[in-house]
Formats: sequence, C-alpha cells, structure tokens
Amino acid sequence: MIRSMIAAVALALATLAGGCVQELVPITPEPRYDEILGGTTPVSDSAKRQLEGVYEVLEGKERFGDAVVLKYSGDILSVFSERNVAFMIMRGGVRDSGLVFTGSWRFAQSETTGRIELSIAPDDGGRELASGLGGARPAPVLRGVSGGPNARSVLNTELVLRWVRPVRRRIRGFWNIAHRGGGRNSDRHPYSENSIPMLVYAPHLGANGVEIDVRMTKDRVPVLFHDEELSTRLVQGSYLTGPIMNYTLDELTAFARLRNGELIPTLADALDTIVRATDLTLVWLDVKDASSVPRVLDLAREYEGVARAQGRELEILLGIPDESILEAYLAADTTGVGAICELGLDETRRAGAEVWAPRWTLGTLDSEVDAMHAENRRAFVWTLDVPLFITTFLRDGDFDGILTNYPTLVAYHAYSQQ
Amino acid sequence: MNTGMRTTASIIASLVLVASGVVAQEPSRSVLFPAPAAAWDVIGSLGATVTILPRPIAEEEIRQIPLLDLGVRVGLPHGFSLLGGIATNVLTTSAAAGAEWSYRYGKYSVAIGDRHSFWYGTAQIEGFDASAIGWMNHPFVTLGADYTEVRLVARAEATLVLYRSTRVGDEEVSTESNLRSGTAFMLAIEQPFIDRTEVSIGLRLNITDSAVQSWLAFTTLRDKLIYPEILVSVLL
Repeated sequence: MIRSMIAAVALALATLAGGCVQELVPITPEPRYDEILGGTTPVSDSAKRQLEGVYEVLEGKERFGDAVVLKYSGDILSVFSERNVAFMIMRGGVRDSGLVFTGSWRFAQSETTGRIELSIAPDDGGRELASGLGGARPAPVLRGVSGGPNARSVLNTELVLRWVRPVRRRIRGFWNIAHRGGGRNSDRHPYSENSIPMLVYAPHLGANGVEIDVRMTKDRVPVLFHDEELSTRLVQGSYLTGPIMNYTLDELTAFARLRNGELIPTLADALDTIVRATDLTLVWLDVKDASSVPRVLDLAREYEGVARAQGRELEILLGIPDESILEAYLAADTTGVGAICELGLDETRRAGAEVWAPRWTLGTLDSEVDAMHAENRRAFVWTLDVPLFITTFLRDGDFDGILTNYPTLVAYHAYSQQ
Repeated sequence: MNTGMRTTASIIASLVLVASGVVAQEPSRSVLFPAPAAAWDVIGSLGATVTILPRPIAEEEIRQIPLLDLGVRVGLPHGFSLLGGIATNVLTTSAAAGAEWSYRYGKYSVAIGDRHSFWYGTAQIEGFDASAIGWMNHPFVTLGADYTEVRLVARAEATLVLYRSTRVGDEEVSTESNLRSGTAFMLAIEQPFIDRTEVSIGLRLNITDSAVQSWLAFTTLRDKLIYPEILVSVLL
C-alpha cells in the first residue's frame, strides 16, 4: 500500500510539474478599422508631420499620464507614454473637415489593453490638417474615448490630447533598437519575436533599429531564431524537438511555426523585408554560431547594397558577443560590413567596430563612452528595460542607442526631452 | 491557473481515497505535518529546494541553483508551535520566522499559521553588481493525513510582498509593496528514512508576480506566473 501511495504521489508531482509549462498568449485587441475609417481619405504627409509632437493629456491621465508623444511611421499613428509604459497603435483618415483615428492601446508590461477612438474636429485643428495644404502649424486637439479590448467593449474613458510642442530631433542621431525584431514573445505583441511581421511592426513601436538573432540550419541557411533548441517558448506544438541546427530549412518550413503562426524566416527574407517594407535604419545581427559569420557578412553586404541602390539609409552591423565571434569576424572578409562589439574597449578597437555595446548593469560609463566618441565610434547599451534606468541613461548618459524590449518607452523619452 | 487548481484538488482527493484504508497511528515529529508537537520539543529538518523559473522569465536558462534549506519547529502548549528556517544558495539567502496552531482529529490534522520571511540577494559577477532585499508574509492553512508510515501534507498559503527592493551598484532599480502578490499550493509526502529519520518530498506551486528566485532576472513583467518548487528534506 505504501509503495502504491508513494507511486501515486510521485505521479501527482510529475503531473503537476509537467502541467506548469506556461506561455503568455499574445494580446490582440479588436479595433474596428473598417467601421470607423470607412469612407475616409488618407491623411496627407504634411498633416502627418504636423500631427507629430508632444501632447499634454487633458483627460485620461490615470491611464496615460500627463504627456504623450505622437509619431507617425508609414500610415500608423503611434502614441507613446511614460505612465504604465502605455502605447497606442492607430490608423486614421480624413472625413469632412476633420480627422478620425481608431486602434488599440495597451500597457507594455501587462495584459491591460483596449480599443481607442479619437477625432480632431474642424475647430480643433482638423480643418487645416484635413486640407493637407500645410501652411501655418495648427495646435491639434484630439478628443475621444478608450475602453476594453473586445469589439463589444464599451468605450467609456474620456481621452483628450492637446499639442504642446514638436518632437525632439536628436542632432547626432539616436538609435532606439527593438530587441528580437520588436520584442520578446513574453511581451505579447501580436507577432512572434524574430518574425517577418514583427520587423514590420517594430517602427510602429517607435524603433528605428532592430536586433535579430541568427542561427544556422542543418543545410547552412541563416535563419532568425533565438534559442538553441526548438521549444514551446518559440514554436507551436512539439512536432520538432532538439537543436534547430539538426533540421534543414525545408524541414523547418514544413513542420515548424513560430508562436503566432509565422514561418521561421531566413535572414535573407528578414533583411529583404527590412529594406523594402520598413524605414528602419539599423540592424544588429546577434550571431550565435561563429561558423556562420562569413555567410552572414555576405548577406549583410548584399542587402546594404540593395538599400543603397534604393536610396535607403541602412546599416547592418554584426554583433560580437564573445571571443569566438570576434575571431571569426577578424578572419572573414569584412569589407563594407561594420560590427557592434559587446566586449571591452580593446576588443572593440581590435575589431575596428563602429559601435561599442556594454551591458546596462555597468552603468552610464561616461569616460568610456567619451573615449569611444573621441575615436568616432558610437556606444549602445543593452538590454535596458527598467523604466527608471531608461530615463537615467537618456538624461545622464551619452549613449547613442538603447537596445530594449520597450522601444515605446525609449521613444517617449527620446522624443519628449527638451 | 484554474486548470492547475482543479488538477491539484483532484490529485489530493485521489490520494486520500487511495490511502483511506490504512490504519491511523500516532503522528511523528515533523516540521511540516500539521499535528500538534509536544511542548518544548525542538524539531529540525535539513533539505534542498529547487525552483523552476517560468519560461517567460528564464527563457532558455531554466536551471536554478538549489537552495539549502534548514527548518525548525518548536512545540508549545495547547497546539501552538514556533516556526523558523534559513535557506541559501549564496546568491539568495532567506530567513523565516512564524507560528502556527494545530489540531488533530484521528488521523487527520489541520494547522493555521503565519510566517514572515526576510531575504537578501547579491550577485557580483561579470557585468553585474546587483543586490536585492525583501520582506514577505505568508499566512497559511495546512491539512494532513497520517497513515502510520506515510503522511500526506497539503498546504495553501498567500504571498504578500511587504517590501522588495533591487539595486544595481548604488542605484535602486525598483521598489515595491504588493499585498496581492500571489498564492502557493504545496503537496508533500513524509515517510521513514534511514536510521530512524524521515524524509519529506514535495512540490509547491507558487503563483505570483514577485518570486524571490527571479530577482536577478530584473524582469519587468507584471503577470502572475507559476513557479514550481521541488522540496526534499530529511527530518533531523
């Protein structure tokens, strides 16, 4: 009897432990784009530029704080807030003599989310913006409501935003680099980390650069994938298990889908998407395997050329996280492809890297950053997610870029600083 | 979470049914089992606890350094006991103190109690100069069933973060107080071990947004996640 009880308890413990595999599901509110924007005409480029700015929050402070930043990327109007690390992703259109917007909002650090509907009345600056003729800058006021996540949710929280000043344009340039192509799976964006749709989404989060993870398949094709092994953290189901390098690209394409259903992208497809479908200006390649460095450098060189041919400003830099990648980089043909060195200053000089990138826990490292600037190199810090430290690094530090899982928060601070 | 709780409840019920035919005996001296201890009896246990960090926090690095765990229970009159303990894996050290009142009815026992724990974490490794402190409170209810050579223990407890602070160097990264941080459920078995000692094997599910063992991850996620813990200890 005792043996059977022990077996039962062991089975119970194993069942409980096995049942604890947990993945956070993506947050996907249901904005009513067709219903709200039906019959509207596109917002002109001049109106988009005039809409961008720092806005005072007159109503809705509890959810979004005292101030927000509005920034356009393509046809998406994004709103970035410090409070609750909140952000909004909206589409808009011109109707009559005003503008209407709809989309979703969420808090980046939790599952709190909802729909949002805003408009600019003719007398609130909508007339000037709707005309699309530019001229004197209006001071737009956006009025509307926000609410719960579902199409049936009541929108009952008033939101009023009043334009205060233009966004800050940093003189020397600043790179807001989104981790894993835009964010981790645990950040619960609508798209998987290191996926093609995530790369397109990253600029809507305020990023102007992305970091992506590169691994090799069995048939030596560089693909975007963070972990060494396939697991339910990154892919649906368990049809394939073990190291990703045990499978060919055809096998991965046939049997593996990322958490939100996308294919595991090749590096070539990812760079092609970045060049053709985004306005990103920097790609940080986090290479996991030293043997892949020559092939990755070839692709970086090829797609920097494609970008150049299109008149696109794009840097594709190879990350050097350890000595093995450093040695592989030094041994390879690096013509035209720069590097981001995560090691010390000496290694950065030895690699001739364009960027030095220390871990954020080392602090603002003012003298080291000054030394890099004196050598015409830049300094990025990784992977900085703590809101207080993002503020500190932007206010007190002199880094040229921040790698983060919360590009919306970095965007808020970078654009709202006076 | 609901599925986990249902699974836990059904397993506990199954175990009680499986063992219902066993004859009851006097309870053994135990730190965990909720039967009253003899007044002024000092009971100790020595063991290890391994916490499995959830993937959203740990990603690939789910391995954890086990905590060495020393537990003490001092019997008091009228079913009361004082509780204490120290656990450490060098990176994280915690000390706990509390009290419980227990009652026995045949082979079944119940205890209610409250435990406070104070913890300190430090990591001085490459690229890190990090530290953390915390003060937590755990009110709990424990149920026990004594089947002579085997004892089953089930415990439910609340997790209240009274204070938590993490630092990098001299800079405070975060500070918080959260009285609704989470809950924990534990299922354990005690049975005879070598040389008249007894061994305790258990699993605890911590459902919390502020797990002590994840402090070094500096996570910014606010979700309540499940942290399974495997507990093994020998009654001294």
